[in-house]
Amino acid sequence: MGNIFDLLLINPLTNALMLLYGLLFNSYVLAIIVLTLIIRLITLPLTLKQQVSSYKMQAMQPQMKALQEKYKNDPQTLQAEMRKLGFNPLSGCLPLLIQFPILIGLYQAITRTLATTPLSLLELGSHVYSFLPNISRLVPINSTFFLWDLSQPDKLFIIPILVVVTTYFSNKLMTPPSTDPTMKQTNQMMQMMMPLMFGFFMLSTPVGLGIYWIVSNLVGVLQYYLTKPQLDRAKALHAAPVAGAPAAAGVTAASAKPLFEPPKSKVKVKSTGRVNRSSPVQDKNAKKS
Amino acid sequence: MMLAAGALVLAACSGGEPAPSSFPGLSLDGNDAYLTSNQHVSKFNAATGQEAWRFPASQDSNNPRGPFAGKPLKLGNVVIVGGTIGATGQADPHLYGLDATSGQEVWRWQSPNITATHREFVDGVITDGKLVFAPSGDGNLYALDVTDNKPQLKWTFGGTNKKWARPAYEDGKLFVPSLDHSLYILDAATGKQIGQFTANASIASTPAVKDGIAYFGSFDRFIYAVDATGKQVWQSSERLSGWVWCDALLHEGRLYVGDAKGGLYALDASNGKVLWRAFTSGANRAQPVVAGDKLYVVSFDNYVYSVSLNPQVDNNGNVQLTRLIDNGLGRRLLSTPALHDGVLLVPLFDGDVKVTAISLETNQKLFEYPLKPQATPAP
Repeated sequence: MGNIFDLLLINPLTNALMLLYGLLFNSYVLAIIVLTLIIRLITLPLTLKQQVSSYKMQAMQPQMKALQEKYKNDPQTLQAEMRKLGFNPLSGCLPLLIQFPILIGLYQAITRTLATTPLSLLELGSHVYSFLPNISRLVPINSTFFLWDLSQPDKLFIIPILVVVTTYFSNKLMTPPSTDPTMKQTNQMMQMMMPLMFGFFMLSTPVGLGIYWIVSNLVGVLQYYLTKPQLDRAKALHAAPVAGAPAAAGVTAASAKPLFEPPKSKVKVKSTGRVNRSSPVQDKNAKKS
Repeated sequence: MMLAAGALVLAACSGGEPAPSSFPGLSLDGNDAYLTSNQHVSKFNAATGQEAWRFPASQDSNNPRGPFAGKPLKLGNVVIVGGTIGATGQADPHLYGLDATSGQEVWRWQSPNITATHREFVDGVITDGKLVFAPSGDGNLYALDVTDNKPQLKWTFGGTNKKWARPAYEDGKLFVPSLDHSLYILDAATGKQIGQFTANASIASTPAVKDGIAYFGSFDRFIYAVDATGKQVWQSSERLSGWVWCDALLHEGRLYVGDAKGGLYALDASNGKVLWRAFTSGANRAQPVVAGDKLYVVSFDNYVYSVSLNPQVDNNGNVQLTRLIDNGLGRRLLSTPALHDGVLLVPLFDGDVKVTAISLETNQKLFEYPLKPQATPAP
């Protein structure tokens, strides 16, 4: 398993990082930045899918709550109704799960290429591609950048602080607001705890990894602002028309056109700007109202 | 974000190597074996595995010692070892002189370059009988006079990158490998540079030197022969399969050397022609050892291999290696074994067992150092 992971992920990332280092004037920081951008670009469809899914789930919360209340004694029907509604608990996780090994791979590639110890340098030697002999000339990587040795933890605490700040803001932006008080509380706690946890890790991890994390956060924030209109539309598209409530303001038939995830055939957009669904639950709700 | 955090923790855990991160070193002086292995330096009986002492006897958190690495050097009744870098980045930047009889610290020395990030002594030291030469991670080679157990810095030779391999000495000259891609030839008495050879990548192995010619490999995957002026005599007839971080062994006109991708090569020392090659499934960093008519090599893949010095070579120039112990030794093998009276003492990179002794007559394990405590018989 370890070998497959090495072969498919860590080795390509390690060699790509070294190749970029050579191409970018032997600047390891530039290599990390460019590789982070490339990875972010490759995983963009997955990130968007995951974000859309989060917003969709968040928008459907009232409907799900209503269903849970209604079928609290009949879990099987509840499951079936939730499925009809388009609820898929894996749809948000799956893209993240796919990014999971990439993150580990990149972590390994950075620590491997920085090779601070004899063992790690020896191991690097068994992972560089033989068909790229010029890569070996780059070793050992020049790990000095401005005030830092990229292979060492930051004794000035600047990088851990930047990691905390960027993680906090990126986290805050990415997490869709929740109407559920429990969820809201959990989100708030996570938004505080996660950055602190990452900052804590950075006290003992190489500066190079911290730089990757900061760049990744900043790219994530930029990505968020660039895709926000689309996310808002996705949210509006899936907003619950409980009790015949109007869909989010500004969502017209034209703008409701899904960009990332085509809505199921159940969704019909009327020229009134209201979004109706053929879900039996909604029909019943509508009748009640 | 949870997943990301989990990933980081997992990566930190799974990617984190066991505590040792530098290579153990073993040297023999008669029946006495001196070993640096991670957090300790120790002396044990090479025939029985009985431990004489261990340094430090206990660790003082206010004044920690170690980790240690590299081949210990016995000079008079003092054993000189170097502190090295640990897996988590902490390093001991000192050289130690230990009493060979008791294991007590006699002296401790650190370089004046105290602002450098890397100051480890990864591969130990050598001597010309007068001075001790210590290559350092800070890029310098230090020459010390340790007479009267009072280390005094005689000269320093600088460089642009880490020096992670011991130099070789012959006839008043030092051949100093460096990760900056160069092999420097120095006057041992003064530290003055006599020559320099630059390869296409780092040089991390101690050259084999004979009659003024240094034989060594580089991360550019070539083996070189260079004279004492730095002039290249030859370059190997082919690129090896991986980086060379193995001290080449010169034996009866042949050069034996391993590489980081499992290659083991025999070359004609007169012209660099590859005579045969063999492969293990792990990096070959340790110098091969000759005993009788066989060559022994230990590998990262945990096996000890042997091959005849005159093996059957197939049409592709390959030979087959034989495993000494079918199941291997269970640990990564990265350091050069020592040969003692028909017994191969193999240092293990990590784990509780530090050295495994193998009889070359029976190909069986004789003992493991440290010896397991004897069970007390029930009354």
